[in-house]
Amino acid sequence: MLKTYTDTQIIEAFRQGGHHRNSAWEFAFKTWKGRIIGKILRSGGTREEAMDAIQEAHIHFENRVKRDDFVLEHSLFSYFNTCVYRAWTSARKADKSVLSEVTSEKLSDFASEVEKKIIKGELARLLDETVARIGPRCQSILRLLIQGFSMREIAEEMGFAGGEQVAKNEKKKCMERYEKYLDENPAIKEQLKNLFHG
Amino acid sequence: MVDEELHDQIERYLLGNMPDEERIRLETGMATDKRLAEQVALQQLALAGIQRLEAREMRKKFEAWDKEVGDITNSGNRVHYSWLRATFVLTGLLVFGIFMHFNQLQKKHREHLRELETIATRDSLIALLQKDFRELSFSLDSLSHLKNSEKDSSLNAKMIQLRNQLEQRDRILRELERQRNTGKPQMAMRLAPPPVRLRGAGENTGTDIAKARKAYNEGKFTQAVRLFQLIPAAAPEQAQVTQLLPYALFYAGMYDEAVPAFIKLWESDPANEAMNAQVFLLLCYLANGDKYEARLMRMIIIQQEDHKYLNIAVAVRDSI
Repeated sequence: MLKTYTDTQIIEAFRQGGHHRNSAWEFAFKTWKGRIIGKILRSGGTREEAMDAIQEAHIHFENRVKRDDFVLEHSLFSYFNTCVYRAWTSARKADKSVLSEVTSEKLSDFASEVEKKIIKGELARLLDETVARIGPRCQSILRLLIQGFSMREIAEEMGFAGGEQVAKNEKKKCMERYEKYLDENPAIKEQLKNLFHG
Repeated sequence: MVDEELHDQIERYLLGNMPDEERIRLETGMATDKRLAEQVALQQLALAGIQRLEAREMRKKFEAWDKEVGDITNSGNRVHYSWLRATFVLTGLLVFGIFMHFNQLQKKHREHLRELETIATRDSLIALLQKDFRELSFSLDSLSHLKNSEKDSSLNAKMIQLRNQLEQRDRILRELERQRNTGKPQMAMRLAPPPVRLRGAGENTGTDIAKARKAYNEGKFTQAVRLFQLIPAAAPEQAQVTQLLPYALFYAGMYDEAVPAFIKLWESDPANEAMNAQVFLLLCYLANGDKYEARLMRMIIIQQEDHKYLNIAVAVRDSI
C-alpha cells in the first residue's frame, strides 16, 4: 500500500532523509510521473529522455526543497515538473537530432549548448572514475549519507556493530580516501574543479 | 587535513542540511577565505560523484516504480481496453444486426412490391384477355349464326382470323392461370383446423344429408361434397349444406369451389361463422396460390386481435 503525502509532508520527509525520504520519493514519482512523462512525450520527447530528465532534475529538486529558505509558491508537483522539463529542454538543445531546427541566428547558442553537454559528459566521466576509487563499501556509506540517513541509521543499514560512532568514523575514512585520491591526482582534481565550476 | 567539525559543517552545507543563518555565515566565510572555499569545492566534488552514483541508483528505483505503476496501469488498461474492445465488438454486432435486419426488411418489402406488381400486371392482363376473349367469342358467335349464303370469302377469312385469335388468347390465358396457381395446398391443409366431428350423423341414414354427414365424419370429403350437392336448393336441409359444404370442399381439396361456399357461409351467419370463414378463405387462397386475396384476408384476420385463428394468419406470413 503506497503511503500518501501532502506537499508539506514530502518536504518534511526530504528533510528527515533516510527511509522517510525514499518513501516520499516513491509516492511523488508514482503520483507525478504520468503527467511529467506525458508532457515530454507530447512535446516530442521519448520516454527514455523523460527518465533521463527526471534522473537529472531530481537531485537539484531535492536539494532545493530541503533548504530552509525554500518557499512553496505553487504545488510541489509543478515545481518538479518545471525542473524536469527544463532538464529535458536543456539536454535536447544540444541534441544533434534537433540540429535541423537550428537557424543561423541560433547557431552560437547551439554551439554553446553542445559545449556544455561535452563538459558535462567529461565531468560525469571523471566523477564516476573518482567515485570508483573509493570502493563499494564507501560508496554505500556515502550514498546513505546523501539520502539523508543519520549516522545511527547508517550504522543500522550497514550492520556496524559499534553503532553511530563506527558509522561516523567509516564515513570520515571514506571521504578522506576520496579527497586523498584527488590530492594525489592534482590534474584530475584541477580538471574536475574547472569542469564543475565552469 | 581540515578539522572534523569543519568537514561536517561543509558536508551539512552541501547536503542542504544547514540552517539559513549558519549557511549565510559559511557562504560569507567562503567569499573571504580562499582555503575554506577550496575545501568546500573539494568536498563538493566528492559529494557530486556520490550524488551521481546515487542518481543512477535512484534512476533504477524510478524505473522499478515506473514498471510497478506501469504494470498496474497497463493491467488496468488491458481490462479497460478489453471492455472497450468488447463494447466495440458488441456495438458493431448490434449495428450490423440492425443494419442486416433493416436491409432484410427492405429486401422483403421490395420483393413484396415486385410480386404485387407482377400479380397485378398478370391479373390485369388476364382480365383484359378474358374481356378480349369474350368479345372475340361474341363476334365469332355472331358470325357463326349468319346463314351460309350470307358468308362470303372475306367473312370466312375473318372468322378464321377470329378463331385463331381466340385460340391464341386461350393459350395465353391458360399459361397465365397456370403461373397464377402457385398455391401451397399441403401447407393449407396442415395449418387448417381439423374437421369437427358432426353429432347425430348416424340418424336418418337414408337421407342424402345424413349420408353426407356420415361421409364427412368418416373423412370421405369428396363423397360428402357430392352428397351435399345433391340436396335440392329449396330443401330444408340446405341450411346444413351452407354450413358444411364449404368445409367438405376444403378438406376434399376443392379450394376454388370452397371460396364462394365460405363467402356464402360468412354472409349467412356472420356472428358465428365469420372467423371460421375468414381463416378457411385465407387457407383456400394460400392453397390455390391467390396471394393477393390471401394477403387481403390475412390483413382482415390480423386486424382482429381476438381472432381465434390469429396464429394461422401469423404462420402464413412468409408464404404469401
